[in-house]
Amino acid sequence: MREIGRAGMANTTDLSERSECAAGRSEVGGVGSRNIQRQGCIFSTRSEGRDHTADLANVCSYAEHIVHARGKCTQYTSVTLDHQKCRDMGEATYRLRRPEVDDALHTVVEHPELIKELESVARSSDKDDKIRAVRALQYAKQRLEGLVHWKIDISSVARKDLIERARSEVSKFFSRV
Amino acid sequence: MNILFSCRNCVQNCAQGLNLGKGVGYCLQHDSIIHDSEDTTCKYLHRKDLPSFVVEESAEEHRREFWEFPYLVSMTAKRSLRPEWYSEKVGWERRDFDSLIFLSSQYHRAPRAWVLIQSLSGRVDGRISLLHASMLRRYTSNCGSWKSSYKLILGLIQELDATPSFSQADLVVREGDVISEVNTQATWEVFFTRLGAIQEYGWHSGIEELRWASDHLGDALIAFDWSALLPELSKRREDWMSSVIAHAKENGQFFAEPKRDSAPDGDNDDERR
Repeated sequence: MREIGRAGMANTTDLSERSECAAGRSEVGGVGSRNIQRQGCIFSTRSEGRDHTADLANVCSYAEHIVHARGKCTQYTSVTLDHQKCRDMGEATYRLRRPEVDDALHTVVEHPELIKELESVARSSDKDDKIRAVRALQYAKQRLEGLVHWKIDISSVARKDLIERARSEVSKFFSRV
Repeated sequence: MNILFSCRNCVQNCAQGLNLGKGVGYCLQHDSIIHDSEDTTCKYLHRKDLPSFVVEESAEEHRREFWEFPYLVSMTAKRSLRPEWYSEKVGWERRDFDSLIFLSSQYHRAPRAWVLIQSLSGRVDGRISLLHASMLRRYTSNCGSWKSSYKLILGLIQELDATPSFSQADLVVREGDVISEVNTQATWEVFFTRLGAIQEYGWHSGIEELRWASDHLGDALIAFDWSALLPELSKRREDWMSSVIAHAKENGQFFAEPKRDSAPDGDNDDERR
């Protein structure tokens, strides 16, 4: 998110302290004002007390995640620099705890890096990969989106326990705004 | 809640989109108005933003999530919503009558659906264009055949390079949105809904060139440069129309001889609705 701060918001400070997120799917964001830092939201349906979190077993491309081609939850969580764009994802806004994310060696795919990668895929691929990349590019630009790639070892986790495991692992990196 | 899985992004709700159509929507699947399109969905969701065959996995997941609901569903409350017809009378009384929602509500009462759809082609109004492309995609999908849709897809390809225009009253401008940006997003939404129609027709007809129509559009698409894309679309329009006509001729469907008891321009069996 540091790159996002530099590229998009000259006056943004303290980026590592206050990225936002919510429960389910997330985004990277900040409204272009001096006191808004990185924000993201994890989308949550909330119904039945069940939040959507990452599905660590759903390995897919960035584009597939952004357009939800392979399901609503994947190994990534979207974050946004514009908290108002969180509405596309979920009802509640959460802040990503960036320092903890970095310390835990998870990967944050910054917005410019994500756009560059999607453009590259859109140019070099064809068929379903191409059209998904093009659509993902549009959505990611619109939402100032970035991704968190969770590096969590799930080799010893049973399939039925994956969602719960992801919830407990991922939710600690977010705080409710 | 994710808006991509809401009724706003479903071809069954033809007259609304992610950026278009305020007020109530109308679902052709459930023959019902939709009070809150952003928070409503159902297991029959057919996304507008991408051709159905590139998002099959998520569509299946969505069906599993909402399979137990026979009608429209509130996404956040997970509550079934009873079908409700559109009342023209109430629309006028409340001063929120919407002619395109009314048109959608009359779809199942029209004697020939394909005639209604074809009559919507060739328009520059963005919301009518969205309605047209959405209805066409629903029709082709429901017929499960390209035979009754080749004329309709020709009508859509013909208008592919027409720049849609939008009334400000039709744009969905949310808090923090800039109207000009919403207008731009709406233009692309109409374009991708049309492109999805061509690609889905390509899937039904087995025409590879149309199924992957997006492969034939160059950097202007990736740069989202509409003015640069227009000449490219004009060129592709001719190629794609030729492909549709050649394919229909090869298969003996291009304005085939009408049956004795059918209309002069010939209804196929699957065009009866």
